[in-house]
Amino acid sequence: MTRVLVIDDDIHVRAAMRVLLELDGIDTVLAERAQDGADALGSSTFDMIFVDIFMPGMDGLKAIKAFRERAPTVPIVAMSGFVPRSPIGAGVDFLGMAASLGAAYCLKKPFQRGELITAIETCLGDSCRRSSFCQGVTASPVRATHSSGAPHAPFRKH
Amino acid sequence: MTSVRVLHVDDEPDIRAIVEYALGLDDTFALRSCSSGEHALEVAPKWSPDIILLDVMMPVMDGPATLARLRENSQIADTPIVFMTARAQTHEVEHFRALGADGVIAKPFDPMTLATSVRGHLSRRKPDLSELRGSFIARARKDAKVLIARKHETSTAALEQIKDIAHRLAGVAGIYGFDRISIRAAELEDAAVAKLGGGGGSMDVEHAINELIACIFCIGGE
Repeated sequence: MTRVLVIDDDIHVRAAMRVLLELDGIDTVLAERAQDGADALGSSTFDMIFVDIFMPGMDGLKAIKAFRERAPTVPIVAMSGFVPRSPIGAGVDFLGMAASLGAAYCLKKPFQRGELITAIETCLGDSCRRSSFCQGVTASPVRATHSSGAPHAPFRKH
Repeated sequence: MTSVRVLHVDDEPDIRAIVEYALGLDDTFALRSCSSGEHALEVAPKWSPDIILLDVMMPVMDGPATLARLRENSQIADTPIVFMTARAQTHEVEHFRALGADGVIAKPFDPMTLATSVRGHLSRRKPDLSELRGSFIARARKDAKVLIARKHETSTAALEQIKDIAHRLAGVAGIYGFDRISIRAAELEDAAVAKLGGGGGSMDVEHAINELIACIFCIGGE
């Protein structure tokens, strides 16, 4: 069974992800804070990790760096919501920073179930397609679509 | 006869005794009691209960923390976990479900009917996303009240709070199918960031708050 760790400080994001992932038979472990996620990673194994970028304490970017060091083979999906324009121009490219720290894919919030599945398929590849959760789900090409409508290629795996 | 293995976790000896008595009335139940969340984490993987009854208010590791740790163990991932708590109003039950609980048994409970209640929770129920929408709507309305209270304020602290609420709503609402709330919240976040930077956005913060609040309180029309 595919097993994922979801780290997000918003209870409604965590609850929705559990429901959406468990609908597809994915074992889902939730953590509210990056430190809780680090604890879970220390005591269990996961096929992939979803990390929200904006969290208090050990924020998502630091967490991605730490998780890459601790579990270099586990793909990480960086999640981020709307990034406002900065007063001096374009907003800070947090997802680009996440990629440079080792995130394999970015998932823009809010997302739909299909985008979640695409993220998993892209990160887990053949092992995912062999698992039960992918059966009956139409695989999308390895491109997620941002809410802006612009296609966004997944990050290259490091 | 196959017994139903029930793991009961409560720091109060009196409650443990009542549950032992109540489930002891039915010889199909096999009960083990734990006095703490930590003890339950040790016992559950070894004993493989069919259901776990968990107190919410416990010292050191409370019910929600224990639940989260139990769910990390793949052996227990599908075991129904039911909170036993006096906090059993509708919004509180929704909150516990959002944490991953399968149900709530309200305290005080009737010892004569506890076995029936426990049986009702034995099949782990997988909630649908639509069932969680009520909990999200309640949260959005609570956020809207904070925004209403803050909308005439121009202090940095107020704008930071507005920005934070807007950012969270923008990211979450669309997941639950409330796309217009996500769009309006993103506009508000943009306006708040621009204001914090000393400039003006394409939309004034107060106007953006009004637009978002209108969306939230028209939620039935989405």
